[in-house]
Amino acid sequence: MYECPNCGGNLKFDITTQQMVCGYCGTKVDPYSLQEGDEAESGEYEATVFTCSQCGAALLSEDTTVATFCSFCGSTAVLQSRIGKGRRPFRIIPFRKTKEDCKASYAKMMRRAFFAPKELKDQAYIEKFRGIYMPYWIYSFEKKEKISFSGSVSRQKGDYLVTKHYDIVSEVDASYSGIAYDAAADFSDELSGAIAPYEMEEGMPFTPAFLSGFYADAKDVESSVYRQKASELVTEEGFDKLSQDRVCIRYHAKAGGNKDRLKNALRPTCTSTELAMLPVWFLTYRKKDRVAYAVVNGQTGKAAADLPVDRKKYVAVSLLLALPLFFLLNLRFTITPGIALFLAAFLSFVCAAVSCRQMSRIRERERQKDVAKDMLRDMLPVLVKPAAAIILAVAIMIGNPVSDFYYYGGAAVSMAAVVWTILDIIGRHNVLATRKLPQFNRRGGDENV
Amino acid sequence: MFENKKVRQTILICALIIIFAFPIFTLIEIKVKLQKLNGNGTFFQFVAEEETASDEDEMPVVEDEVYINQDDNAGTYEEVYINQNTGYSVLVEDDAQLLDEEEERKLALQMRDITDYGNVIFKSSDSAVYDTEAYAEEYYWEKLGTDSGILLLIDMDNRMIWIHSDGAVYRVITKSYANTITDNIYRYASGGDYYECAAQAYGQALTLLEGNRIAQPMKYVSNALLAVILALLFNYGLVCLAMGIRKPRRRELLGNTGNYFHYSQPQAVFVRESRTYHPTSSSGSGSKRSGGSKSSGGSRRSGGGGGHRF
Repeated sequence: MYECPNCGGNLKFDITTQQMVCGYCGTKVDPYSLQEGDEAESGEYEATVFTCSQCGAALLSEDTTVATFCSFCGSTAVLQSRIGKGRRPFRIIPFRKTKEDCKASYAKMMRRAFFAPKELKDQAYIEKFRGIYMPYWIYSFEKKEKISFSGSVSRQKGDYLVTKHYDIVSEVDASYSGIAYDAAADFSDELSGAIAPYEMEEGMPFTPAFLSGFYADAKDVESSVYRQKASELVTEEGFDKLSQDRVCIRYHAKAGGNKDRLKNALRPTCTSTELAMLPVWFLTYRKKDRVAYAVVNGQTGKAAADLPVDRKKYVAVSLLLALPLFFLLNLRFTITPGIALFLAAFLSFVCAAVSCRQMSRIRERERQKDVAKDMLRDMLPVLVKPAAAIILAVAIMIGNPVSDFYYYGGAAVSMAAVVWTILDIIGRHNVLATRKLPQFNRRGGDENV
Repeated sequence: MFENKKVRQTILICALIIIFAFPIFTLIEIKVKLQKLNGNGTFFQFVAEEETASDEDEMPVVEDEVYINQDDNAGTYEEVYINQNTGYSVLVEDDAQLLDEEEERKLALQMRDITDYGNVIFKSSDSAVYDTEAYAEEYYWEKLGTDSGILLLIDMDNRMIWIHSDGAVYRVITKSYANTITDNIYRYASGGDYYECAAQAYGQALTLLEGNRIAQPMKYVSNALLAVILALLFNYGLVCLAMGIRKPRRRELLGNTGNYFHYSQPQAVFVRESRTYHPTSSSGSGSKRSGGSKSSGGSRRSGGGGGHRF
């Protein structure tokens, strides 16, 4: 806690003025003018560590007042606090967007969330947005050298394909800095990626005073985890630019095996890796054993969120939409028994394909993608309904009975199965749009790593 | 199941709307038909004009009787009635001997009413027919060309009933209506009641030609189910498109000022030449022209129809 030099009150960082402001007397103080003690030398900083008794998440704060809820699991259980130390970041980007700006960004994003549960738009819920400084690894890369890669031109000559091989040489001068990846295991990579980028030019030397009035997450992911990913990002950028050159196009430098040689030649050197604290407005939505997050970039105001679907709202809106569709179909489309059955089978097939895709994504998250036996076990219950609908439709089509009763009956049963399957699809969408509790055993917070 | 009162109410309202959609749609369709009847250049006005012209020319009064002229050689009946006002005729050709004399007379009387709108043909066949639809089309073309009319064909060889129409009648008895009518009557044919089957077919055709509606319950049930599924799928597409987490593009991530990628003009230096045996396909050297498009022979056939097995 930082004391006001005028009245001894609690100084907190004020986003609007970018100064430390006393809540009692209004005194403004430059964050860098506040004494830090000896920690600055040791590469650490001292803070109150709040640990959630339910999910184990740890949050740091310069504020000693008790935190009322956990930002990661939404638990309202009183958090245990202790004095602890965190690794001192090199840089910090202070919050630029106020809570009001954050709420406006969130509300704008929620305009496209037609089927989101109404709780997500509730004002009392939105009020729970909490400013958290997230640790990020900031990578810089450089490539300043002469590179050589392959090119080739082929032409047909009689029964032979004659290929001329070339070495293509170019002097590359490239520099990339400020490539940020979150260094907190409890922060989803999907979400942190969605609110990127940060304007790193606005970064300032770190001082713990900026944390006053906010929380900070602790770094628990090593810099090596994302270095390769960042390097590939830079390599791809260089590859895209260089391969557009007319010489590279003429000598097919991005075709076949030449492509890998060009990429290898462009691979940059990591010149620096810094730890920085970047501002994120954070909100948690919890339902039973699932949790969904909404995040807003505290510097640019870019918002992203896990958006589950309210099944009742989805069904109600679909029924409303079905009305004009029904009128339209009646005006233009007379269904024959055979077509009804064929459509039912086709729609079942579409639903089965969507279900399989969803299941494979769910399995990917749960790290089961390599276990073929389990895959069959997981897929079977998902495919039972659409498969039964398809089998029924095909059996009737093969049997080719005279009576329409079989066709319409089969089509009705198959279509009912399709409706049921679509509702299951929405259920699985919600599994994909939310996360398990706790999620801190994930390496780097990336469900797909 | 639905705890939320508002959601429950919404779903209830939707269900009620869908239940009431059938009569609402019926009313709308009747209105559309009426508008069609009152419109310019419609089939119905065309008939009215002909009638007026006939009156002016003092054509003979239309008689209510039908004349059955038995063709002794073929054992069939042809051109049993000609509408003096419109010039359209009734033809009955019962090659499969499905109707007795009395049934044919009754059927012809019923068919007569349709001659206000076009020619009417009843045809039954028990000879080998490869494709009922093609046979119906060919038969109609032979008898009437593209003249307005309706043909009901009972194909005993394929056990199929088929309705083919053309001209002004086809504008009302479209393929979909032909399918609907045959869907409604095929059970009579299955039960061997061919007279009732034909009488129902002509009755429903006349109902449509008079601007009224025929029952097509399965169309509404199927369309309702289909509409619900399409709406659910459309909304799922919307969920995927609008509610997913969007990743920023690479350019955006690397867009910080100060980031750059420069390179000097690449220079290609020849290294070596390699040869791989790669024989060309002989078919590739020939002409790939298909030899011109297929001519349709200038057919003016414009009608269509629908059918059902029995």
